[in-house]
This record gives sequence, C-alpha cells and structure tokens, in this order.
Amino acid sequence: MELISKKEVLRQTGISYGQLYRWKRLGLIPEAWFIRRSTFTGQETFFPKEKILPRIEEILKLKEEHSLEELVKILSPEAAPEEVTCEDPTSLPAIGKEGKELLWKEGGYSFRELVALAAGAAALRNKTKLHQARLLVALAEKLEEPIRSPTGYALILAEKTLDREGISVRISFAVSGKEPLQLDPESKVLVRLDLERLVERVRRELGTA
Amino acid sequence: MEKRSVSIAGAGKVVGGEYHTVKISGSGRVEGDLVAEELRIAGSGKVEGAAKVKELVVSGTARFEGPVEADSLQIAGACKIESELSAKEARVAGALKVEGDVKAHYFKASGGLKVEGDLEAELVTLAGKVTITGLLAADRVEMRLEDVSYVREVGGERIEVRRRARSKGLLDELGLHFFRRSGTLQAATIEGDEVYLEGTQAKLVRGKRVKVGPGCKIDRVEYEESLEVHPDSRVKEEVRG
Repeated sequence: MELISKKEVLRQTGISYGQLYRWKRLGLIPEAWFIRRSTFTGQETFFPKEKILPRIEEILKLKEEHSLEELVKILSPEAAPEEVTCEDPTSLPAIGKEGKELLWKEGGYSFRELVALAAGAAALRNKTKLHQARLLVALAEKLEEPIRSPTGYALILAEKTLDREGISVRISFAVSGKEPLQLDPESKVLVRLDLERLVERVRRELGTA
Repeated sequence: MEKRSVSIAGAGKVVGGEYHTVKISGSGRVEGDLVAEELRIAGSGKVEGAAKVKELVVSGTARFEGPVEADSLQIAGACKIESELSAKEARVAGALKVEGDVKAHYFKASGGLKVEGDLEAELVTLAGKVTITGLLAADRVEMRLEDVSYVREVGGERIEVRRRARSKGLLDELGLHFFRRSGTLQAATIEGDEVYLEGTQAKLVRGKRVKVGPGCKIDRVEYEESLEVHPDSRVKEEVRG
C-alpha cells in the first residue's frame, strides 16, 4: 500500500487544513485512513494514496451540488446504513440483473442487505453457482460492524475437494476477516472481495440513484 | 403514552428506561440505560449505563459509566464520563473528564478538562487547564491558557492560543507574581490555515499564515504564505512551502 503524507495531500489537491479536518469530523474521510508514523520531525500522518486522492476528488466534485450533510449520506462509511431502505436493489448496478435471483423479499432492503446482495452479485459475475453466491450473501448480511467500518476487510468464497475411497466431495464455503486473510493451500479461492470497495460502491450508487 | 418523570430527593435509585424528566437532588443513581428529555443532577448522581438525553444539566458531581449523548450539556461542578460523549452543545464550567472521544457542534469549557481521546467540534473554546491525549480538531479553536495544558495534536481552520490576560490578584499586589506560572500549551503538532500562538511549546507548527506571539518555543514552523515571530519567542527552523 503506497502512503502519501498529509502535507503532500494538501499540496496535490489544493484543499485547506480546515477542509481536511472538517471532512474527517463529518466522517467523509474515514478515521482508519489516518495512519500515524514517526518521521524526523516527530509524528506525521499519512494516508493510503489510492484511497484518499480519489475520495477528495469525489468530495470536491459532489460538493458543488450537495450539502456536506448530504455528502455524508452518500460517502460516509458509518452514517448511511440505518437510514437506507431500498425497494428495488437490482436498480443498483453493483447488484444488477445478476442479483435478481438472490433477492429474498419484496423490498425494504437495508444498507447492509444491499452490500450483501452486491457481494453475491459480484460472485455470480465471476461465474460461481447460485448456491455458492448465496453463501456469500448470507455471510455478508450478518457483518454489522465490518460494514460500518470496512477498511481492511475481505470476503472470500472458496471451495475444497475431499477425496475419500474414490468418492469426491466438493464443499463450498464463505469466510470474512481482516486482511491478510488466508486459506489453507488445498482450498481454492473462487472470489475474493475487498469489503471496503464493495461498501463504497453501493454507497455511491445509492447516492446517485 | 405520557412518559414518566421521577425525582430523587435524598438518596435513592431509578431503574433505567424511558423518562420525561429525571431529577436527582441529593444522592442518586440510575440503574441501566437512560433515555430522557431532561436529566438534572444537583448533588451527586451516577448513571450506570448509556445516557441519551435532550437536556442534561449537572450541578454538583456526576459519573456516567456509559456513553453520553445530549442535545445540550451543561456542567457546573465535576463530571466524569467513562466512555464517549457526543453533544450538540456542551458548556462546562468546572471539571470534566471524558475517557473516550468527544464529538460536538459547539464545545466550551473553562476550568479543568481532560479528554483521553479526540475532541472534535465546529467551534471549541477552552480556558483553564486542558489535557487532550489525542487530537483537538475544529473549524475554529480558541484557547485561553492558564496553568500547563497539553494537547497532542491541534488541527483546524483557525487556531488561536492566547495566554489569559489576567487581572491583578493578591500575589501581584504583594509583588509575588513570579510564583505564578503563566499559562503554557505543550503540543506535538499544530496545523491550521490561520494560526496564532502565545505561550506554546510545540515540535511542529504548520499553516498557511502563522503568527508566533510571545512566549513560544517551536522546533519547526512550516508555512505557506506568511510567518511572523515575536522577538520573545524562539523558532529553531523556519521552512516555507
């Protein structure tokens, strides 16, 4: 992960200290992205470069048309989940027509359920079987805390073949956890998803829907 | 259904739950989580769970064992929160200790403040002795120093730290003013668009426009547009850009 210093972020984006701290306070820039490291001048804050720069660009672009409070709902990891209910999940491209078969109720999907559906839909797009994608949905749907602050979380859908006396059994399973999340060498990873990216995507699509 | 109100005068306890008004005058405790429009503690009170209250007034001493969420928080006396605090408006005169993060729109404290996490708000006005173990961040930070204060990191748009202009007290009358330490702030990093400092010892100060007033010792100042340093102050290293 490439890091960028706070000073360099301000220089490259042209934002002020005031904006950076305000956006942090509102949750527009997640706490987990502030990484403290010792340098020759003492402690210094760094950010994951590939996350912070697009995020600031996005805030700058969206803030033309939205208030900061609206932006929090669109972008912020912890603010949105409880307030969302979606009647038609397949209208979000992250879920799409692939996700149609994963739906389990008429409407009223919560944010967490939408993320779970998006995980399943991503698996189906990776050519997994429906029952395997459902494992991922069932798993993700239970992840309360990780979906609230998903930085560093991964979801894995995998399978494993057991051979016993000429009978071969294939078992599919889904796991979640903090990176580096690893499986034993005999398990075959079918799909690996970065939970943070998934959450961000659902959030963005909800915001622009 | 009309919400209940309870009042303890003397000594007693209240079972947690939803109330309109809870008043403790004397000595009382709330067992469990509390949701109320109003909580008034005069005397000594304790909430043994989370408190979610619209208007919270403490005059006397209070202890909260869980997180506190309030629209308006007023403390005159001493209060300890053993978790997080979030308030729209917090005014503290006296002593407040928070063992977690503080989030507020407006936060004003005079007396003694200790935060063992971050303090974030839109506007923060602090006077007296302040200890913040984490980050103090606000659009606008104003500090009036007395005694020795410590804040690990200060950040925001406008940051203003001043030594309190003090009125003449007894010690001064007797010519003993050198017994009184003038206020200082110790910080690792201070960052803002506009920074004005007095009586501050810091490793690193960064800003667009930085003014270092009297009584400061700063290892390194990084500035973009302008830097002024008072002749009484020392800046070891000045870097532009």
